[in-house]
Amino acid sequence: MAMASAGPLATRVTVGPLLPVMGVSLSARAKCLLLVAVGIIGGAVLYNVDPRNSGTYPICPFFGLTGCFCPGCGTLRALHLLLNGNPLAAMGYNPFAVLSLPFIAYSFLTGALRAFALPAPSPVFVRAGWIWGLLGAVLTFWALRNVPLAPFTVLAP
Amino acid sequence: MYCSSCGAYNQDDSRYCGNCGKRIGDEEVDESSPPPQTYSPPGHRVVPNIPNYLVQAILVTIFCCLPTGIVAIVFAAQVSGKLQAGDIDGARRASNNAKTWAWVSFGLGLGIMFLYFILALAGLAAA
Repeated sequence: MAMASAGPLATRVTVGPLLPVMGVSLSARAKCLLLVAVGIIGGAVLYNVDPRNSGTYPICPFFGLTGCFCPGCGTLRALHLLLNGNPLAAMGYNPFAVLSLPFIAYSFLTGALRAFALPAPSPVFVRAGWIWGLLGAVLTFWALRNVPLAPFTVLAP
Repeated sequence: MYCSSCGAYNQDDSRYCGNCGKRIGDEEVDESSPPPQTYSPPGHRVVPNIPNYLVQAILVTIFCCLPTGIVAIVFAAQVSGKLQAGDIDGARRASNNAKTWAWVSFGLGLGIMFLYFILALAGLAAA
C-alpha cells in the first residue's frame, strides 16, 4: 500500500529528466522557470544585438558545411526583428519561425499552467495527417528557398 | 479529463487511465485487480498520454541550426498515426524515437551554437 501511494506522487512531482545524459532530473515547475529564465536572457541579448551584423552570432553549421539554406535559416534574424516590432520584415527572413511562434507559445503556456496545477485547457491531439502535411511543407520550403530563381528567392533568408 | 491517480491526460469518455491503468474518477482505487497498462474497455477508446514531441521537433527544426529535427517530425507523425490506429506499443516506441531525435538535434545544433555564443560573449568582454 505504501508503494502504491508513493508511485503516483513521485510521477506527479518529477515529470522527467531534463538532462538525461547528465543524470539531472528537474520537476516540471523547475523546467518552466528555467525556460523562462533562458527566454528572458536570450531575448534580451537578441533584442540588443542584431544578427544581421555578421560575426556576433555563430554561423549555422548546416550552412557552413553545405552552403545551402536549411528550414531554420533566418530564424535568429526574424526573432530579432520581431522583438524590435517589425513582424513583416521578420516574415521575410523565416515565415515558418514567425507563424509557428503562437503555437509554441500556446503549448508552453498550457504546459506551464498544468505544471503549476492551475486550470488549463486540455492538450490538443494533433492528428497524424496534419503532422505529415507540416513535414511536407517544411521539406518543400527547404527545397524551394535554395532555388536561386526569381519567385523562390523571396523564401531565402 | 485527468487521471485522479497519476494526473495524466485521458479522453473524456475513458474509464481507465492510459498511463497508469487505474480507474479514472474513482477516489477509491481498486488495488485487487489492476487492469494492464494498455487495457481498453469495449466501446471505450483509451488514448494514453503518449507525447509526440511535435513542438520540440518544430523547435529543433525551425529554431535551431540542424535539419535533423525533420526526423523528429516524422516520428511525431508516427506517434499520432499509431495512436489513431490503436497501436499503443508502436506509439510508445515512436514517442521515444521522437524524443531521442529532438535531443540529438538540440545537442548537436543548439549546443554548438551556444558554445560559439559564449565564446563570442567572452570575446566581447575581453575587447
